[in-house]
Amino acid sequence: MEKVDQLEQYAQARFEHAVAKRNLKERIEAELHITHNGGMFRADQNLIAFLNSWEDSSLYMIDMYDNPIQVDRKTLLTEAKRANQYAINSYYTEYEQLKTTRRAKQV
Amino acid sequence: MNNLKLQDEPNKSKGVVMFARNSKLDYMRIAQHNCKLIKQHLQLPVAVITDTRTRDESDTSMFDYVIMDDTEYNNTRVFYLKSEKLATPWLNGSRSDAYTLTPFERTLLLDADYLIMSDRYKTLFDIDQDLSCHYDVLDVTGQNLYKTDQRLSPYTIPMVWATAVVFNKSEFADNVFALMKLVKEHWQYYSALYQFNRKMFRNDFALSIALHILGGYGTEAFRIPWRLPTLTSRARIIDYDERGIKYVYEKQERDYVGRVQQDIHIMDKKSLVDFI
Repeated sequence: MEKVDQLEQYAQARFEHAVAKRNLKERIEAELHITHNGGMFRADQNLIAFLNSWEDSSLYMIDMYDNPIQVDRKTLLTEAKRANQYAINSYYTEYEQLKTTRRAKQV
Repeated sequence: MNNLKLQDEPNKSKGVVMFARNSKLDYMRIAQHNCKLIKQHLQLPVAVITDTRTRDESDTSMFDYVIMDDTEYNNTRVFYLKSEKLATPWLNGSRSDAYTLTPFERTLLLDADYLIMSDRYKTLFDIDQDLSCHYDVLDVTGQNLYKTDQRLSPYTIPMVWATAVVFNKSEFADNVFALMKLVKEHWQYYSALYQFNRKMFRNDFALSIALHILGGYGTEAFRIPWRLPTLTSRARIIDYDERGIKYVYEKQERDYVGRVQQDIHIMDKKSLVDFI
């Protein structure tokens, strides 16, 4: 019975950990949203890679609301890189903290 | 209804509006607390819409605008808390008047109990959308308790949430709020048409119907692109400090604990009031 109790407690701790990680990721995902010229974009690797590879300084892109937006490539790229690194750095820092927390009771 | 007090003249173009009318629950206290959070994280002026009784028994000095609404609505909501059941008059009926009551050109309309702990809503003031709201809820306890709230009822239209709505003074938003009012006035008819329980008026349902009809039928063009984080009324707040809100909830006779430090819609208003 002692082992069963131990396993139950372990399962509970893992559940709390999984929920905390999912909540953290949701929060970080929301921080990735940036605006440009009235449109909203997700500052992920795809956007950064696409803007990096494009040569023209101005282009049209479809935003998260499916609206075509005129984009200043360099301005959006700079903002996307800033938002991306800010969000992922926060994710890294808080995830490292979360890993060392055995039980959510300790948070 | 009249705009009783204009406490100063901050930038009128953008701001936050909350409704706070006390019943058995002290909604004004929650709104006061949220006002401080909004000013800290969003740096925007805040207007509160309240009634004479609530205003007279509260300190409203932190709000940039105090707008009076003494309309009577008879709605009752039952909150199921861990050890008790609380039935309280729920004065939510005038939400559809927010369009005419707001002093701002672009407004973030919030439930007072949706605590703002980040600056993420700032982005919604910079986009070319006349209205945005949430289509999905994130149950932060991980139990997915709101999965049945994806539609007004199993075989009808998708549900949106009126907890946080960003809108412009525009023809579209004007019409959406006008239709919400119409839905409220003909609640029985619309409940039969869209097959949901008519017992309690819900702003979420009125907004869902208005957006469904005016938004091009079946589009999701008004979606805020992240989920609405919500702490269910089955969870009890046990700590609240600069690290966020710590809660506990019971599942299969075990207590589960978590902490959130993000914008969060608190359903257990009673335990929130104890901590603010």
